[in-house]
Amino acid sequence: MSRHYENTEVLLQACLKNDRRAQLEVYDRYYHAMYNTALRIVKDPATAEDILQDSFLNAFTKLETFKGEVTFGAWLKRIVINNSIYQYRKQQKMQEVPLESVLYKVEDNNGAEVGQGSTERMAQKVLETMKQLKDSYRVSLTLHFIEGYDYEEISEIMDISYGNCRTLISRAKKSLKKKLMTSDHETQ
Amino acid sequence: MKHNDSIEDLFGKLQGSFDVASPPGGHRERFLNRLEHSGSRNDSAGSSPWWRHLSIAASIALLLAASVFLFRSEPNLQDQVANISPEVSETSMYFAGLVSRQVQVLKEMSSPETQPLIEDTLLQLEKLESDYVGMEQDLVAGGNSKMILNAMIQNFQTRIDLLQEVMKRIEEVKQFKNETHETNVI
Repeated sequence: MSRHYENTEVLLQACLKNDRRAQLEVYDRYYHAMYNTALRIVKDPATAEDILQDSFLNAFTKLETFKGEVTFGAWLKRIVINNSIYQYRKQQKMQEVPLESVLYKVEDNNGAEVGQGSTERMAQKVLETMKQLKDSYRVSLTLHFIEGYDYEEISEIMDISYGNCRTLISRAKKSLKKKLMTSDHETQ
Repeated sequence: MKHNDSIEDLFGKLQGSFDVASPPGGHRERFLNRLEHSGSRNDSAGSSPWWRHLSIAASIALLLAASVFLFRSEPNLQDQVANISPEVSETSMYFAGLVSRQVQVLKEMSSPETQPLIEDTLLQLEKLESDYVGMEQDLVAGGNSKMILNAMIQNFQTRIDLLQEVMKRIEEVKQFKNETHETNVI
């Protein structure tokens, strides 16, 4: 564990000196998790890739401000989340309802016959179901249960009051549970 | 999902298996590309500050020279036309205002079906405009003024006729689409 930390430390030092190879190594280590984090918030793969790469570039330019109070992964993830939320707000403002999302919904209902098989398939199903929820429900659930932020942090990220945040998550939980149970009934 | 399962348990069980998606193919190359570009921008900004200032100064000088030239030549032509025939210059002002208002209306009517039509119209208007400028030059150069003045008015008349014709067409397209509920692309 400590060896790994040391390793990251050395790697980040090299990144500070604008070492291309080290920067690419950091990208390779973290892109998968960061991409998924962004995708769960903004839904669109191309937008998520943009956010992913912007965030890495942001992180490299302000790497001096990383003091190591949290792990580098957590620090980077916070940048990704902030950029994703920024993009998510833009989408909300434009009231974008792409045709594909409606089309996919129809497909999703047909294709939701994934039983309670492996953990991966179950996770896939939960993610698909979350996509059908209201946007704010989806975002709050992913921040709380998947990224592991507490109410206080989420209320700060989403720029809402602590009380609103609690209400939002409890409603989102109820809504997700209902959706998961009805899709189970349909498949039986 | 059973009734007594809580959402917390569900997510707890699935912890760590949610990263199921992968970025679109070629993402690594795209990132490398962006990384190179961001790096080179920093390098050039740091290494050569003196010629950057020089190039800014040069472009400002160029801009000044160009604007002086433009401001000198443009009112010249219009003034000269006004000297030869004040009525024509007044009439052309009136027509120019009319045409630009019509163009504004036309642009507001733009829709996917009518866009090619509108774009073509604007192109034709530009051609007419350049013809008009040519005529002004002829007039100043001292051609047959009566014929040229006539042609200038004709030119404006053509522009307005064209605009009205296009408006009529657009109305027809809209009408047709409403009646038949079908897509109709010109």
